[in-house]
Amino acid sequence: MSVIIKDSGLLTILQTVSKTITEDNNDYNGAVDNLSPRLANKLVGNDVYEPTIEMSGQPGAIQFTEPTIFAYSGGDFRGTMNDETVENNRIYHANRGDILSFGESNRGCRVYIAVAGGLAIEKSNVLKSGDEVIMRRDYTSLHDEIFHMMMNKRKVSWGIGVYSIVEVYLSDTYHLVKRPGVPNEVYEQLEEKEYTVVSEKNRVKLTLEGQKIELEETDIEHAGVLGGVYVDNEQLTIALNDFEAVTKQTHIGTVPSYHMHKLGQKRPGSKIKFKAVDIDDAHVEMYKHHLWVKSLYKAIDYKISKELVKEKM
Amino acid sequence: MLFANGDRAITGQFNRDVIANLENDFLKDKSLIQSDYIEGVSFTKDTITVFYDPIQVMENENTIEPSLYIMSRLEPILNSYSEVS
Repeated sequence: MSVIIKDSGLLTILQTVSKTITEDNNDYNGAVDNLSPRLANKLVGNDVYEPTIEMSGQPGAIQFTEPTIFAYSGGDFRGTMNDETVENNRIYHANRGDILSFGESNRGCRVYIAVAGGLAIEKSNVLKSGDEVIMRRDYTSLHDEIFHMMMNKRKVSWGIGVYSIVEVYLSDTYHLVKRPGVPNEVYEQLEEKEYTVVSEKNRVKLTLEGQKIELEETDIEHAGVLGGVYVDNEQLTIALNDFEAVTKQTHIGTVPSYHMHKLGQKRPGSKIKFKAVDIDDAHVEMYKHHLWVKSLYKAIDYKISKELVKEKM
Repeated sequence: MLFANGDRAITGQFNRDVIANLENDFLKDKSLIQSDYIEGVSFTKDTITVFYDPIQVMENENTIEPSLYIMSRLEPILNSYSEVS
């Protein structure tokens, strides 16, 4: 039994949380928003690094072929299942034949669907309408308990509230770790005004419109690094997960990992404001973010265990 | 020039001969640049970039400057190639 992609939308892909090298020929360059799949996995009792279904731009629809525990996280897309509203960051129980579909989004451009027990594919990880995703059924005792808890209900009464994640998703300010050799005036220019996302080449890069950055052209081959900010014909681009490994565009700094999840939810028209930081400050912020994620995991564990106790009473 | 390329990578930019020699030797012997914290190494004609896990470095090495820790491990290797060329 499997999960069927009824409608692949703009781009649907089975994706790992972080860049992963595998023996098949698939590109597992990691989830563009790498926080959301971890939250969705945590909710359904999976290892947080379990692959999830990443749907970008205009998410489509999936059909379940057996009783399944799932959760989705990421953009604020309106989900429905059998005419019932389905919310992100909440645990749901689907029955055989149920179809989960997505409508318009108020915020963000990607959703990540996690299924209890995990997912796998046999062929390409880029999924088309009609493709099947295998349910790995790697169930643990926690999964058994969650299944038992959800036996007679479609959803739990709680989820990760917007207030819990608002701080890490809604701000338009992005740190940019400075690169030596780039004049300070460039960073002053960058910080001066907002930039607007004009386009996203799917999973490859965001192109920004705003104050132009004039730099002397060089012949240097730069490494294409996730979050790298490059100047191409005076216009800014930010590297996403599938960016080329080598680029002649001038590198002026890098957005740190702790801001990449919200960058992954930007869409054309979104605003971006840069704040140039030194690496020491970036590492302090990164560690604070790491501790915050751990505390969120703990809160989910606590809510699930409380729900399980309630069920047993 | 060796610098923190964001919070998870260190990039060294050197002349092309230095990078070519280093890449050549690295392809023959991956242990040339190896550590529990290093997750990957990539080359361009002008740069070498080392990807690492800063959280592990911070927690295991009790430091708040993980990039300096990684750079201190890379510098002797890179310097030996710069001197040769």
